[in-house]
Amino acid sequence: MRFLRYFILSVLFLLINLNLLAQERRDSVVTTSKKTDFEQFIEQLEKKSGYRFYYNPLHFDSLQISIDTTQKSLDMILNQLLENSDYHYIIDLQRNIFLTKKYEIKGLPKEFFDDSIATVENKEFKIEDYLLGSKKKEVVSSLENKLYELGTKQATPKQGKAVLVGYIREEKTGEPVIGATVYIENPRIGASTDQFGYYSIAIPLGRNVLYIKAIGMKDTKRDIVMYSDSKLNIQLKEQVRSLKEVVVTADKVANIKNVKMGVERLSIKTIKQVPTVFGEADVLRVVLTLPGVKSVGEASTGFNVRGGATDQNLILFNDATIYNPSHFFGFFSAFNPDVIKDVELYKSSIPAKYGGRLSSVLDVSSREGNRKRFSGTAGLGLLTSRLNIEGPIVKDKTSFILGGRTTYSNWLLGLLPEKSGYKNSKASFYDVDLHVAHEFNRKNSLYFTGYLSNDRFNLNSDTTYGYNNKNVSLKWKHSFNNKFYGVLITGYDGYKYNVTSEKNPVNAYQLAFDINQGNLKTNFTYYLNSKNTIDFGVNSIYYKLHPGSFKPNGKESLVVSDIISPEQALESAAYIGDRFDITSALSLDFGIRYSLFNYLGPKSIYTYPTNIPKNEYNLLDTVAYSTGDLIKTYHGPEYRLSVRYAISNNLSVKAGYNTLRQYIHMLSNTTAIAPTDIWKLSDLNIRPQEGDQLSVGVYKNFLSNSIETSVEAYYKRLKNYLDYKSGAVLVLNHHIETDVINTQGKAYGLELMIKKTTGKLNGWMSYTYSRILLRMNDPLLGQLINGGEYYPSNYDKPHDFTLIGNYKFSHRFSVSLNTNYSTGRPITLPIGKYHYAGSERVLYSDRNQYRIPDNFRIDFSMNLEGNHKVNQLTHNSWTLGVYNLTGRKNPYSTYFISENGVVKGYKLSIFGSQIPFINYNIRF
Amino acid sequence: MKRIRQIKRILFYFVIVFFAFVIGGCKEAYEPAVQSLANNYLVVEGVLNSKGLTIIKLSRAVKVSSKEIKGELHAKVTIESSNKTTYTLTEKGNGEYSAIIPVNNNEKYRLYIKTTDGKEYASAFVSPLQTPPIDEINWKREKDGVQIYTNTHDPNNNTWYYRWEYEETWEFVPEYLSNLDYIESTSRFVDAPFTRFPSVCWRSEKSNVIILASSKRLSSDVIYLNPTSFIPPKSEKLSIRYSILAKQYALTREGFEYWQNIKKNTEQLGSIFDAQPSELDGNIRCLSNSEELVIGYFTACSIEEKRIFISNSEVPGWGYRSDCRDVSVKNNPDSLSSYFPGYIPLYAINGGNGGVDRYVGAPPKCVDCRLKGTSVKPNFWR
Repeated sequence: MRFLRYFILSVLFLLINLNLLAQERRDSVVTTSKKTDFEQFIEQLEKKSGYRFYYNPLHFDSLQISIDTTQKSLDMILNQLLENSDYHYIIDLQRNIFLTKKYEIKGLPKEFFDDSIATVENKEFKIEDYLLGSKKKEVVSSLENKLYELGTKQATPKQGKAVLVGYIREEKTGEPVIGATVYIENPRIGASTDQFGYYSIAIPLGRNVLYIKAIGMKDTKRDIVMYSDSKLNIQLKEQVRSLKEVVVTADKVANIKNVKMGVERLSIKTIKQVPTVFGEADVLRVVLTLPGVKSVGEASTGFNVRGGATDQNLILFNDATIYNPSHFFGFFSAFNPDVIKDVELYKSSIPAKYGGRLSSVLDVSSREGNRKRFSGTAGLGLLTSRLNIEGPIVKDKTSFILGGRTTYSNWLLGLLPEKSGYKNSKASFYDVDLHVAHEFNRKNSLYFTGYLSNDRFNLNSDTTYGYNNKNVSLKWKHSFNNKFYGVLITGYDGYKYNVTSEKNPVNAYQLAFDINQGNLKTNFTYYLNSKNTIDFGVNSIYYKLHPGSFKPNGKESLVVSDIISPEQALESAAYIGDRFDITSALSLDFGIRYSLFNYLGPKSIYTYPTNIPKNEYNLLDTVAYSTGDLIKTYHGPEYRLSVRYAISNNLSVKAGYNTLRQYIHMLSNTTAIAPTDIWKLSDLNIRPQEGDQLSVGVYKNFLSNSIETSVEAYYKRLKNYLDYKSGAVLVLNHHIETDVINTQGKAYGLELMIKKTTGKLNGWMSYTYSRILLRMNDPLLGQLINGGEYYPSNYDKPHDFTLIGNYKFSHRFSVSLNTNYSTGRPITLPIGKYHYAGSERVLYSDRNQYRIPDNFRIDFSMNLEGNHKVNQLTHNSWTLGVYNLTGRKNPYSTYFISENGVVKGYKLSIFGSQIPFINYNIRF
Repeated sequence: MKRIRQIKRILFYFVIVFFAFVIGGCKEAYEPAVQSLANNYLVVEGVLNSKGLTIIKLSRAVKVSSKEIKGELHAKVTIESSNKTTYTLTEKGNGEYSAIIPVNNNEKYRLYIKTTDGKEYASAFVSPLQTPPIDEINWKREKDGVQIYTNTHDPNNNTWYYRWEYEETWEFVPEYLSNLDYIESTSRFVDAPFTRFPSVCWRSEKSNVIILASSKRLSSDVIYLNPTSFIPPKSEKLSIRYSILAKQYALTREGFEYWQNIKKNTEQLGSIFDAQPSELDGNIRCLSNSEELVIGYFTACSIEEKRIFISNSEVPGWGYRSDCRDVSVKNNPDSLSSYFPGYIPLYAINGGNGGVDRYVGAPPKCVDCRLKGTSVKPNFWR
């Protein structure tokens, strides 16, 4: 029986094969090169003919090809090529061509051409004799031209699909590669790796070519034969350009294929290329160059995404919430560039697993540390130094990375002009990171993150400010099976600031504020089938805030302690989302998140009559709640929806709609985030903020996907955004609700971006038109702002143009340029002046009716690498450059002040000249 | 090795460049292009003084670019008590209206104004506050200058909010003495007595900053070492003898917040963490149009005063140096005409042949101290 089948198949094969070969003679192959490397030649042939070649490169590396292939058929070329040599070739049914040296393959095993493959014995193909690498129990594939048999073979061939899962790691360090695309071409099915480098893809049983692409990594592919659900770990090589220069035109199709909109991923490599003010790679500064992301000025903590306020960004560092992501008045971001792997910004389609903030999620991931050997980096700059070490604790199982940074910036402050008012200031900061990753077994991994950042400064006065972030998180990942895995995250996030004054013993005080939150999150991912990937989970955050304590500092102080009783709340959410590939062109990503917020006792709450402005004169009653009382509950659904339709391989359109809710608010009446801004939970008197966003986009790639272009437009509504009343007191206010008002907002914009991801020249260019307008038009809530009309918010900067470019002259020398133009931000200008208290003084009227002059800046940097000999002890590199190359005095603010009895107008620039910088980096 | 030397050179160059650039200023004068018109708002400043003369100043807000702010003239200004007694203030010119008003601390008072355009304005009724006396004015050498502080306390723990104004007066002498005069009509120099110009003068200046303090956060109503005035290093104010008169006003909480807001809007801007400027309503309204903005906050209290003196001998090494420079001019009509009569001649230098070789002169303000102050000794000076 079996024999008969063999026989019939063999005959069939022969017939088809002959027929195929006959057809092939009519195929013409056009190549233009006359003298090329063998490898290049074969690549061209593959491209033109659609055949795949298999050979041992070692046998062919010295072969130079000189052949005119114009208008010749494939077998003619091959015959001509291999004539009178000891090279041989054979072509099979699957359009594979095997090249051999010395030995001729006299007919491949019959089963080789059997589509069912069911009868193949458990042995490797003969052709593999020519290939390197050996088969391990758990397949670690690092070779492209090897055929991998995956899964358990069954007696009878199966139809349908099976799930392939695995980790994609960097070959050298063993670190996971996040966001790598794994796909097959026919039918088009794709998946991408998650934060653990884990992927899961359902593909047809049988023979497949699996393509793997990731930014900064060499593109690769794997020939696989799928028998059933199975596992394949893949190691990627870092993309190192050889001195001879290989032009890589990989099809980076993530932007076309991803269903989500408005997602930007930046690897630390990209981040390090962008010049920054003191030469230190800065995550947040680079995020600010992305379309739709803005800030009020050069020295400002925080950023605004698509018209959102600075407190509407959820900043996660390995799942820990960072409340103040900046050091040193915003000149440095709180993330140590040597520890960071990449950052991902969601500004439109926010996955259902995230919530609690209205505008964006900035997900910062650290590296896991080198799993193979000990190494480290150190950096020396003009203001900061940093050091990090990493390595395996147990090789290939447990790794750690420890990083630290500190500053010696006081000398710079001493250089500030006297008039800046900061000349005798002092400022210091440090941050420490520790990350440990441990793999118990194939199913269980544990990740630990500890983070501490601390800032202290004294702005030429007797008052010292300090703030710090403290975060600990523990993440356990468990794979139930190939299709289902879950992550359990628990952690503590803390932020606090304190202000101390000592000079006047009678008034000496300590002012303190803190936020503490405990998190428990579960996220599950279930690869239901090839069309559906389901995410679901439950998250919970317990908040405890100390909204302010004011205490005497020293024995002589007469300060009366004033402590605002702590606030506590529980924010919980359950979510479920599905990524549904309806056809290969049409995909849907939809989710729902239901969030529930309980404001908990003990707390005394003031109540006010409805429909009149809340103020302390019409306070109705004080209601005391005790521990465990539910003072107020808010809840509501949040919808997340995005659709992608791929018109072709390099053109797609997407649309998305999102709703979000936010229960914690930052209160600030300063333009930039100040160190004394406080956070407030929603309570009986302060409603949660709500927002929704509708966005559409078109994505098109050119030149083999090496140039990505996109156009995105959005319209956003904000509800219950908190603005402050005139003369509001936000610090130590026992009834803060009387000083803030709910406003409505609307934001809309258009973002254009062109990105070149590969080649000697890479970078991006973006233009954004955007507006954000707020309105307070309910006289029942208090005095109308600007007569109840829409007014631009502080960070409304309609036009913004950014160009980030990097050019590699050689492997060791590259230059980068950052150009930015933006409209000046709105300010409130005086409408008149008057004489009062011995001096002329200005009179202000409507908020934000004027703008400061436009902003334009060019930054330039050069990277000089030492030699690249592999075996030296340390690798050195220099980064030098100039921030604000044109020396333009970009205004940070304009203001009017009464001096010696008269009004004077000033324009304040943070950097009024070129700022050169230099950094020395060591890798060991 | 060569490469390292190269890098070292680059590094050195960078450090030099860095220093050269960073020291450039970051703050420069700025006039925005757009400025809308002020709505001619009425500005009311003044306190009902229960311990002396009550002065109310009326003026109008003007465009930012205006050179002058004029007083509001010919208004009818009265103080009304809660039992309907009306006291009229008399106009002193330049928008100042004053009267001594007998204040009963148990009554409430309001300010009423009728301007020449027929509009009527009135403040809310306010209770007179009892300002505690100033305990002490003291001073310390700080940052090479002199910082002056005020201490006060309210034994009844009833005041909590304070405001100060001050008036500084200092004695100074002319830089140069002159015993020559230049007669413009004849273009000749004639002898003149040194006594032609006073040998000592006094100059006074009123505070132009808002000084506020609150003890609200303390366990007792004590203000300790509240910075009041600062004399910059080497200032003329302490070249001989200096005096400061501090005036202390009690405020209500609302009044304090109003003043604090003005201070924030007009004196405390220009830092990285600026508060957004915004206007607060005062307690004075236009009776015919409640939407019309009226600038000012009317309060009533007793005004407490205290004066101290500081002599140059108390601040060793003060090192006052004037910016006055004399010039020596060759005695020929062309040279002389470019300085005289603009300058005041001081003395002549005779040449070898008995004639005048040069005349020495100085700018008038360096010779005649009345151009900067008064030669009339203030009656409080001792």
